[in-house]
Amino acid sequence: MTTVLVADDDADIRELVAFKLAQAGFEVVTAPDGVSALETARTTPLDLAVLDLMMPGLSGLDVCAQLRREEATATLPVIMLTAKAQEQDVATGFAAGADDYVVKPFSPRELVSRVQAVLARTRR
Amino acid sequence: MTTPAVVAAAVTALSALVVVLALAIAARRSLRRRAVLHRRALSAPVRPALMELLAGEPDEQARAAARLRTLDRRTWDAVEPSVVGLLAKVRGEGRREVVGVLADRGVLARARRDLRATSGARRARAAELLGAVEEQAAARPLVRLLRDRDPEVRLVAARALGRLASPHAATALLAALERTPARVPGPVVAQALLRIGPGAAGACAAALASPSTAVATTAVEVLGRLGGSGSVGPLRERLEQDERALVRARAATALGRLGLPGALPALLVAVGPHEEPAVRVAAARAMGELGSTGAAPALCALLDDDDERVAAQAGPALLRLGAHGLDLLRRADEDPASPAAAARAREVLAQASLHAPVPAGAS
Repeated sequence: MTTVLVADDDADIRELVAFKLAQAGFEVVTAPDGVSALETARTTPLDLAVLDLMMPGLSGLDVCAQLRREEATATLPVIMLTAKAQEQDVATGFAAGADDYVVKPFSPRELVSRVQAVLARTRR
Repeated sequence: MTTPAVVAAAVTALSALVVVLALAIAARRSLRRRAVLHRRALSAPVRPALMELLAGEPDEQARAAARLRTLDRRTWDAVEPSVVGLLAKVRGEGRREVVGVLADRGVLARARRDLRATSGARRARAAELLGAVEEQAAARPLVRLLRDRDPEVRLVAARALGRLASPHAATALLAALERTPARVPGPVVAQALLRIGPGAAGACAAALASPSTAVATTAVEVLGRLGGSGSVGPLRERLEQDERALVRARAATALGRLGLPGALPALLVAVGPHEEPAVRVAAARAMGELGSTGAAPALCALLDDDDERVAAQAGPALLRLGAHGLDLLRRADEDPASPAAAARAREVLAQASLHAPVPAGAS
């Protein structure tokens, strides 16, 4: 089964994204902040991570950059989920190693499509 | 009573007061924690329905909406903050279902009433919700709240008007910038105008020559970000004619952001030595953003400018012109006639090489 990590400090968003991904057939693990997201990525075999950009302590960008630095997670596909929609914010997300960028307000259905597309692209 | 006895009594009274205060704080925290846990327990069985409403398939959404419509009052009160909170973060079919549930449960009617509540917090919450559901009928009362005595309410009302995206609110938003002391911060107004989109361009163009610097600079900023070739003429006019250096500098930046070649003649004048440094800096940077090779000779000359702030912009701007700019920087680097320009060109070339992509196979 394909396992996806959902990291967001907003419990409602975390639950909503997890619900939609589980409904689409993914196994979902969740993390309420950047530190636990990183810990989960180090200890759980993952196929993809959906990271909120603005998390307390360690931001989604920090987590993404750290994942890229560590051998075991260097190629883990990452999708950033964020309310920051400016061109520069998106560019910063990609520069940190993100594979895709979804801006809030988001469509849960579109997010699932993005997850499937990124997985298809990275598994090729 | 002796002095030591008075001191001892005072210390005892003070200690008792501290203990009472600590107990009161602990009791309040405990009550609040219990209330949160109680709300969580009440809402837990309903949360799957909320998720289905927002992200389920159409039949699940219809079932979930029916369930949320018939929830008892206490359970609904526990789940309502999550419903309202998620509304602003999600789009798509589920969002429309949520708005329907909020309308049927009377939440929107209550928010309309609360726009006139005596409590500022209630007015702000109501404005936030009506903006989130994009209720067009709320535009007029929200415009009225731009004059609210509570700064938080004014701020929320401006954001809500942006969400409504009603072009009619644009003039009122710009006017809210100059109302002292009850003004709305510039970035909040700019963001709201940008959400309104091209419909706000007319109001912004009309506000460009406003005697209020806050209004003029915000209008310039928004026009530069909205795009549209129709804004080049009015912005060029500000760059050429406005008496305020800040407005001229912002106009130069906005013209660069628009990236249209019609701006070049005005920018070439604005980098001239007669101008204020802030305007020259903005104009030099903007010429790089235009990407027009017609700016190259002026930018080459600026590499040797007496004002370090201006000269520092010329190299990166030349780099943005592409191959032609790169070629000119290399020539400047090798030109012994101007050591200062050569040094600046060398620095920019070195920085560019650091960011150049590494060729495949290189280690």
